[in-house]
Amino acid sequence: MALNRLFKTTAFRLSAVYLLVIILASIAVGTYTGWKTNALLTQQLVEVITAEVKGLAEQYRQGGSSRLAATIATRSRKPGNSLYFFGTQAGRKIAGSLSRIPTELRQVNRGAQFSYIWQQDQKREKRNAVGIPFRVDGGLVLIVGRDIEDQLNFIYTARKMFFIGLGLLAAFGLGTGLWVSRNLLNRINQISETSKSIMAGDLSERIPINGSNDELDQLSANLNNMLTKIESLMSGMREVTDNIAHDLKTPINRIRIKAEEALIDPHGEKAQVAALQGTIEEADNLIKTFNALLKIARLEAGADNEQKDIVDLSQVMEEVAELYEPVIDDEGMELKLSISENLTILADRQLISQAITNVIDNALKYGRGDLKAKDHKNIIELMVRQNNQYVEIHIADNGEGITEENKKRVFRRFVRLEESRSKPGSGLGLSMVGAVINAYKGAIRLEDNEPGLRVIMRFPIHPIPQLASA
Amino acid sequence: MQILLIEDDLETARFLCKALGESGHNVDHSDDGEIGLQYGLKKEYDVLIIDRMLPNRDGLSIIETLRQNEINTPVLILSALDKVDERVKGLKSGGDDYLTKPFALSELQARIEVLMRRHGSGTENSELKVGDLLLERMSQKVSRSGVDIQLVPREYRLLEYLMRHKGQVVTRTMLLENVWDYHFDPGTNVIDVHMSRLRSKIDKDFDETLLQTIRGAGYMITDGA
Repeated sequence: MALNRLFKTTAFRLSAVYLLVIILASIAVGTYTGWKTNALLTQQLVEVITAEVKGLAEQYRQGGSSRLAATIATRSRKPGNSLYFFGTQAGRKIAGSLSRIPTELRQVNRGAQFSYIWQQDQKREKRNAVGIPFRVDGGLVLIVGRDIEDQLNFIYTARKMFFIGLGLLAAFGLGTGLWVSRNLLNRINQISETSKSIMAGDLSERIPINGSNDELDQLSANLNNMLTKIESLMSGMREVTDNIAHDLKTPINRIRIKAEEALIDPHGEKAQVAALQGTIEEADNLIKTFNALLKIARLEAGADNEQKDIVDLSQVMEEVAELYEPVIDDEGMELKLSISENLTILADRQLISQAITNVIDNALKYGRGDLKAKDHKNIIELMVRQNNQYVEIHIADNGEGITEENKKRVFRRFVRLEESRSKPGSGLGLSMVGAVINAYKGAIRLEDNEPGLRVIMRFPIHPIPQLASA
Repeated sequence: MQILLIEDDLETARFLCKALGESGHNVDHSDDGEIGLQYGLKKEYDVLIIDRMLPNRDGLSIIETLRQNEINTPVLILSALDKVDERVKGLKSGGDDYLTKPFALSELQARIEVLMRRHGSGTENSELKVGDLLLERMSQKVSRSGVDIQLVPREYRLLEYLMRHKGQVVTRTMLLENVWDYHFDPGTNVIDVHMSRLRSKIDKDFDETLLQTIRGAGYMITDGA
């Protein structure tokens, strides 16, 4: 079963295919080399024999058959690979190392391979040779040949070695393929085991990383990052659901209490009117909360659905400042403005304006510092400036500021740092800001204004396309 | 005044018919887009209130058809679709105002009043007058009983909007939409502070108060007559 899976892995199939290609290529190369070597050796044989025949023909020309016979008899006695037969066509030997005309050469008039019996002392063996027959005047025949038994043995051995090599290659290759696939399969098994336990609900599981930094490690790291992101989204969702349950239940309950009160109030119509007005107010706040939730959800669902225009942030800030200037003044705070002109980004004016007003609202609500301190003046500072390829918006107050551990929390839905909740607010203001920032590829930082909070938002600059100047 | 209401939520429709009827309007109601359109084509109205998502024919298509038939009655679109581009779509199709659900009755009534007057009053005057308060549009000068009043540009635009709608309730949302072009609600009561500044400039030194706060609704400028 496990082996079956191993054979089905991509890694194993790939190595099997490579191996097959290598074996086929080796066979092709081996065959070609063998064929070429054989041809070369044969050609050498033919050349040697031809040279020898030339020498013998010279002897014949000088001294006729008897001289030829004598020469052959002399040469036959020398050790070596040369084989001779000189005799009548009927097969009667006059001289030579071969005892008779080999059957393979009897009918033909050209060179051929034949076998003969080699004899030395008590040893006899059948060996292979190549020979060429020549007709000599007077019904005689001359055969010159060479023993090729050693050559054949060599070729046979080489072929054997070649096939043994191929076999070893195939075995080793397949083995390696299996080993690699098993390793790969193990790691992929780990990934799929982890994903199974994640599917079963344990989001804290992570895929092990072996530190080799190969593709699988990188894939695992990416999957782990994705899991971390999903986990934080999930816990965010859980928190939102809990908070919705709490933050929406409370006002609904208040509405219920007010209506009930109106019913039982003995003071009659006047009290009832007041209770009903209170009910409407609560309902309006609920609607506002729902609208804000919807807006955030929509922004988070995808910025592509949102309108995008070139927006002059400098102008947006000037307008917002102008809207808030009287309120800031009424609150006994001071407005400090510093706006660089004509800084444009790609966004929606309404959403950007709302994000800015949300932050200013917070500054108004929580930006009050220690009034007992001497010469303390509450200042709200609004700034728009360019910072490299970004437009930066600063909204700063000199109130209490936010602690480091709270800086991350404030962007979550329904999170209000002021636990008593004495000031009006839904806890959605900064969530909305965060969603707008994300939707338009911006970034937000909460810095210490010493004292107070400095909110820094930034968006990529998107200049107005300029017409070529004349 | 004759009002046609095309709205398929019967509870909302019943409430609006009752409230508008009590304000002295005659209201025809249809809960079907196609039938509503036929009403609009056949009978003459002063204002149409049209929901966007209706059975048989959607609100935008009704408005487009009416406009194609040269019926230029002011239309207030009433819709739960509250995205800015939905609003733009509504106004492009020929609507005159766009109010998102859920809404306050006072908001709806204020907007209907404005729409009716706009339809009646023809061209824009070069001068606006409320009692002894005078706003000259060409020179952008404001004076009361001959005494010049210095206003910052935004205060001028606020006052101009109020005076154009004298005797009508103007809600905070209407001011935000028309004077600031903001289609969202800034948390703090910024509008109230602006209004009290404006009031201190135009009413403070005079006996008669022109700029009035209408509780639970908004503001109104009137000479009391």
